[in-house]
Amino acid sequence: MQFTKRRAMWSLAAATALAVVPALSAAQATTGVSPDKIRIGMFGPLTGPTAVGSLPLLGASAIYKSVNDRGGIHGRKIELVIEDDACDPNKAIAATKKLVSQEQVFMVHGGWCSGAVMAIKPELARTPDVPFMVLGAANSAISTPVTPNIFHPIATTATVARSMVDFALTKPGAKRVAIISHSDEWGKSHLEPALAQLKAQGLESVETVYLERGQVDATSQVLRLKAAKPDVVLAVLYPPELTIYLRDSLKYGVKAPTVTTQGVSIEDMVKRVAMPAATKELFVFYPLADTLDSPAYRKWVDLYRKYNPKDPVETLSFMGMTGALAVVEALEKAGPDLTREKFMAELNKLRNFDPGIQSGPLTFTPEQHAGISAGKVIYMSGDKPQIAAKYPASK
Amino acid sequence: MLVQLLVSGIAVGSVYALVALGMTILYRSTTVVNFCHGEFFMLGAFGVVVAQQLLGWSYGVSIVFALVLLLAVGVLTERVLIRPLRNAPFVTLAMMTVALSYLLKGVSRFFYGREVVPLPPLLAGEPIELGGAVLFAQDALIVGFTAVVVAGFFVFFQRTQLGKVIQAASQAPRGASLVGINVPLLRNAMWGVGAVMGAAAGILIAPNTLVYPDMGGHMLIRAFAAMCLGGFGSFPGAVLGGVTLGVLENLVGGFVSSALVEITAYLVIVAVLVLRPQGILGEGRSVRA
Amino acid sequence: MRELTSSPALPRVARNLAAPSRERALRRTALAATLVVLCVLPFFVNDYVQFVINTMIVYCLVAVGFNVVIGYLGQLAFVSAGFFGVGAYATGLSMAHLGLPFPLAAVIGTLAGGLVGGLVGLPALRVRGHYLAIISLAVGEILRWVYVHAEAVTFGAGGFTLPDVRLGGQLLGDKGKYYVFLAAAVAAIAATSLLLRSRFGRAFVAVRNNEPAAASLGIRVKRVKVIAFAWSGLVIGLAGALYAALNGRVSPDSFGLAQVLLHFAIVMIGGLGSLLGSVLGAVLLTGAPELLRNFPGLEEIVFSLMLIGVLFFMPKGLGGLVARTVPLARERLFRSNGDA
Repeated sequence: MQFTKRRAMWSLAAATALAVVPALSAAQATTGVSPDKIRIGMFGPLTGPTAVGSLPLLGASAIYKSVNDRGGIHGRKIELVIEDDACDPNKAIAATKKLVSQEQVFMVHGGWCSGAVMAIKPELARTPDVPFMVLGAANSAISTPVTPNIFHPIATTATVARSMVDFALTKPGAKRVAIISHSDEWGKSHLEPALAQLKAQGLESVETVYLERGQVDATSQVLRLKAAKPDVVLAVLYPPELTIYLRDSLKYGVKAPTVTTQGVSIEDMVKRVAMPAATKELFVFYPLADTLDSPAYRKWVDLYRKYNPKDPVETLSFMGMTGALAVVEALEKAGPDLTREKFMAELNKLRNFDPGIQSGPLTFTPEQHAGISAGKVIYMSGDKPQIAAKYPASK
Repeated sequence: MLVQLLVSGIAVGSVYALVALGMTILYRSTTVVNFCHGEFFMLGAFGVVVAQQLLGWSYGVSIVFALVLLLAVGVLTERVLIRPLRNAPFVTLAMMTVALSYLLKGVSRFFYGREVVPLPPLLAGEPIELGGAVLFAQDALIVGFTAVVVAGFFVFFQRTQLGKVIQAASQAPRGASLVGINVPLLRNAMWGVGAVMGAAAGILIAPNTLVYPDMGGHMLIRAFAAMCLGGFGSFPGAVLGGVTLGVLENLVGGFVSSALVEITAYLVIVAVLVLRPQGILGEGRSVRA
Repeated sequence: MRELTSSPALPRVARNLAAPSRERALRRTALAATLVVLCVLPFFVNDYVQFVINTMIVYCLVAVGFNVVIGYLGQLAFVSAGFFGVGAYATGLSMAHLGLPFPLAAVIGTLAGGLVGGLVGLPALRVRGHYLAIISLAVGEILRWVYVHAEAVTFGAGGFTLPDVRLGGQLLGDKGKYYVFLAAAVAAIAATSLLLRSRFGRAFVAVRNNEPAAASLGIRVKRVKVIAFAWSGLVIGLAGALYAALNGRVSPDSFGLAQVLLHFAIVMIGGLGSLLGSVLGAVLLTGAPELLRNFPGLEEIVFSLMLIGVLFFMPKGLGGLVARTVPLARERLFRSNGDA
């Protein structure tokens, strides 16, 4: 009895030790590159409450797949390894470590939630040779101050907030600006730059109110806003809460136009609110170059649909594509003798890169990794979406 | 402003009251605190969405479908998950409802996780002026529906034979079964009714809030606060607590700070349980230890 | 004596009592073997697996601490996320605001958890059953609101990044953190085990099973409850400190309802009142999502089905399963609610 038990214990210990020895990957000259493949790791919120943020990942992966269908880059096809971070910092760190240490990818393209990307920033700083392209996280703290291996091809929250304020002030006579926002990190990262931009114009927010995710009624917030008599209201809200706000502001007679952030699509908001009077004066920061139904955008929509036939087609679906195209461009330029250093050097040489998806051209320099610095606004004119840089004169 | 805050507070509070009423039914009939009720609420709304958008049925039929679906879900839950555990410590039962809520959320996230689905209001139209306040027709519908349900409850439990039988079954199950009342069947039926009430609340408010898998969690806490405030296990308490909470949230947001609206319910819970644990209308209830 | 003890008619307890030295020797060997394996583990795993293992250690601690309150004391209080957050924030803020080194900050985090635990234990005296469950949920959410809105102190909704985690001047990487975490966890779990085997532990169980009877035996019920909550706060606070070091980042989102439910699931699946079960549950529920990475969307569903399965078929959880099949690992005070 004694012997068998002791033996069992030791074999159990040995088995445990062996079980965790990971599969050895083939030795490679450059990590993630083989004669016929380039391994790109991606992560995003495939699950969880923010799973809508997986749409940019689908869009970006569609780009990579289409490149493969055209023969790849210098004879190499892109192999995607996709992980889920569910918007959780701990999971994002695990996903990144898995991609870099275990899956041995060439580079990582990922991150929709700013909290998750901020959590892996120290990790990326420790492995400065691994290139990282942000998928859709917009917090400006990600790329300011600049980290050599983190590239940010998205209009940051600072850019969006500043554009929102600038647009609001193009309304003739607009002086009183009010803000309604979530108090979470996403909201704050818009609120602070917006207040700073107002201050730069010598103005202050006449009333700032908070509406939290999951609340079903905005009465007290809207009444406070109304009492402050704003000329324009900046709304930093997710779609469900934005819907509630728009309806309630119609109900209680807040006559000011609403300017809101990127990530909501104007057509969808109009459908959700289902009250034309409430969305007549809604202006959405628009990160894309054109409306989804325009002829110029047809090919991108078709591309997305080809590889993701069952997924929703929204503004978000296209927000990761420019980053993917930038990656492809840099891979091409780096040539068949591909290394990580060459790849990042090529990224740093991108000037006014504009494949026609995003609202402004993309420029990376070694000092500036926040690539997009402009954006426009979209609104419903009649029943067609229309892009504008200034408050429309007809209103 | 005060009048408006009160009026819309009552409208929102009516939704809280409906959810709290449903939870109270379940608590009274089986002494189980149902941590899954927010998901019944959510499933009611999703039921309409699925019927309308996937199966193409009309709004009215979809609502009936959703209510029948939730009736079945409630009955099944009691039969399959709760009844076998009825002698287990209440920690186990509570955890079972938590596990179920996870499951239902996971399933709906699996199918609808990537979008936020709109639902048209039952009564559309321009805002209505009423005294110093403004209402949407949908808000009036919510308040009216809740009032009808509450009145119906009162009449049913106080005036009808069946209502008294159910009260007997929940207050003294052994005695009730001794006189031939089918206690398990009644418990089963009450779970069905409770689930339907949660679903009805979801269907009523979904046009305002849009439909998404996490919409239930928020509502659960509000219902808890309503029940604690009004008196845990008391039907009029649930209604009073719900409406009071709705008004309180609006008053706090309007006069103190919009940042506090979020935790008003939690503060209410702590205040009530520390100062007056039985709530406004409550009597001492036996606690399943 | 031999004839008596080898008779199968005698209950197991008597058999154990009669041959304790053999069983103790076996247990010690098993423990030693496990410790050896644990010590050499980092040399066989890559960074990713190391990170996951470190996360498991943190959750083992959480489960052990939580088990003291809900398993041994038998009070359903959803306090774990609160203690976890207090430990993490106290540690991180001591480092960020006061520039303290990690070991000292971790001690502060642990003590802060214990303090909050004791404070929570006091009102818990007046509130029972599901009321306690609801109020503890509410307090946890209020804490989270404070983390978000007390920006000047807590850096607000976005959270903050920790300064470098160092031990004696040396920057700790994943492997370094592993040894620190392991040492801390072993110490804390051993201490908890000692506490549970002492008269306090017996008092916890006595209060859980029959409070009036316990009081009549001279047990100071109020003091016992507060001690249980405070100890739980200490252990979970320590886990929070390690969690902050693990991620290098502290933010309010990590300490909400989802976290409490995870802790609860770990303790339930591991087995209420079983320390070994807590460890097994933590390993399982931390490892499972990693293994389910290839099947996104199924994690929640699998978790809940696992939990339902355990509640139906294995109410004593993994700890109970182990106790039945591996007598070597049976614990002395492992008796969940409803047992004689």
